[in-house]
Amino acid sequence: MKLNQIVANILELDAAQLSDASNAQNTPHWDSLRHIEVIFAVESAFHVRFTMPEITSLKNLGDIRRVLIAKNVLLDRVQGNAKVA
Amino acid sequence: MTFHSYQFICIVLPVLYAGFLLAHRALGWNGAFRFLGIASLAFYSAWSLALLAILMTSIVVNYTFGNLILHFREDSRVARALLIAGVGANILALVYLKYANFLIDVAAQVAHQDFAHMSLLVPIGISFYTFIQIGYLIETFAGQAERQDFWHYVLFASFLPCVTAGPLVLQREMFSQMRDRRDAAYNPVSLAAGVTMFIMGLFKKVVFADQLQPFADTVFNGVATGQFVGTTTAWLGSISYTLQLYFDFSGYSDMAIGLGCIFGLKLPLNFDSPFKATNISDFWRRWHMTMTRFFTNYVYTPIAVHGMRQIAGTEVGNLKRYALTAAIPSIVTFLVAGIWHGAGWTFVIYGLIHGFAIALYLGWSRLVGRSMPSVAGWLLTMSVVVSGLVVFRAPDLGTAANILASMWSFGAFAQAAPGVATVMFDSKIASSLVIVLGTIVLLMPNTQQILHRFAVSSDPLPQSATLEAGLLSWRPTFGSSIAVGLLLSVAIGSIGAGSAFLYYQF
Repeated sequence: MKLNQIVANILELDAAQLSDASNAQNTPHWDSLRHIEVIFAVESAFHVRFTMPEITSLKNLGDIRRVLIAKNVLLDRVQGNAKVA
Repeated sequence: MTFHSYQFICIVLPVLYAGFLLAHRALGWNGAFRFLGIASLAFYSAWSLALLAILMTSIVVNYTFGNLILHFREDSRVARALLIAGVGANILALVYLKYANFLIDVAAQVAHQDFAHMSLLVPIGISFYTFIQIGYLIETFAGQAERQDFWHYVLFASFLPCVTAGPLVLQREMFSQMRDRRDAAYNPVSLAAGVTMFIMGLFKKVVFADQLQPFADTVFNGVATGQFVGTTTAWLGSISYTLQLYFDFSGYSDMAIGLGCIFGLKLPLNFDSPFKATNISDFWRRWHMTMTRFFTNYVYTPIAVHGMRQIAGTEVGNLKRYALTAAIPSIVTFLVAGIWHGAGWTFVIYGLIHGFAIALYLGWSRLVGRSMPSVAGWLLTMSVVVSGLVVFRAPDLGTAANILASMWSFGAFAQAAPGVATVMFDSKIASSLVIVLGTIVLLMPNTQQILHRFAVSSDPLPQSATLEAGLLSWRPTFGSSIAVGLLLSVAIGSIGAGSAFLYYQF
């Protein structure tokens, strides 16, 4: 599942409505509770665990993508389909 | 000394700017930042040398803890112990200086005895410079900060635009600007934008906020001395205070951001048209934004993440999930934020009102899945905001309860003989002010939107800013300079014996 799709599912939006700049200020339904749910859904889908400093630095979709890449999550898993091990 | 005094505007600011330019020319950016650090301490010492000693102690202790954490970063147990000791020392100092007498009162009530108060100096800005440095220690432990030059650190913790009442800056947004500076100190357009931001903030404070103050004070002081006010007067007094606090604190913040821009260190935004919010969550994204950011990062998120990790992989009911991941984190966060403002039950209740409001909003949005109609959402949000600020402003809970009873009873408690507060209160002028200033905050672009062509703050602007500013969008032209000059003339003429900034008391 694409990263955008995971976030879109939590926010109950169409994935096409999201971009790397999407955040709580400019995206419907993105409140503090869903922000935490987004982070956990991404952790679960990509089998990673974010540290607290990483979580507080995740302000938009682009930040999540950058941290996933920094964690060596395969690019095709971030941009394309997540390969669940 | 405050930013809206003749001494600061006519003498201190020009002298500081000349010194800043000379230091930059002679010694480069490093010299300019050292000059600003020393100037900030000198500015703070204008309150008292004893308060400067407390600030300097705080700076030296936190700088030492930060360096020790960096030194032991390979040994996470030692680094964690140092972080806990450092944050603990900050909180203990804050509690001792700011809350000791409140705790003594609470102990006296519990023990039914009289305990004498301690004679304590409450340093101006202590809540702000303490929290800025707690953030520094946490981010240092998290590996997000490097070792800093001592004078850069002094400037970060005591930068004169924000040492007294914020914005609550993050270490990374300040140190990143101090590192590897290449641009010239004197940038005429940036200077003009910063001066314009400062003047707009000055105007908001001395023209708008200080005009509203007598109406708010009449109602709150009148009710505090046992007088009765009717529903209309109670609402006008409460809305006057709400608008006064907004123009006062956002005016202060604009002046701070403008000064930051003038001195080459941009500060984060603190307000973004909060009265345009149509839900309480959105309101807190627009009101005292750097405080919301601080408490979201360091209180809300850790509690919510802990709650989410507790239930991960287990079957739990929706209510428990909601309590652990939304309600408890929101209520605890706003309770702490309320207490952060000051020692008193009014701040505890203020925090709880907003904590429960956020918790209810999160529950509603999850349960119903869509927002209320905008008008209903706005009315509900503003009702919570205005009522909450009645508790925030009132000297005690009894006064707050009486004003709220008058507001929400819609005349049911009307008394035959109105008190002096009602007689003294000119409803026509108060209504006119509330309508005019209310229209401004609801329909006009805010200061950062007016200056959207020039990055006056360290934050990116929302994409909608350019559209909302329209014809009021500022450019460095002759026409704009005339308009800003007029604002300055009116503001300078309005500087009087008006109050200090409201947030100086926090």
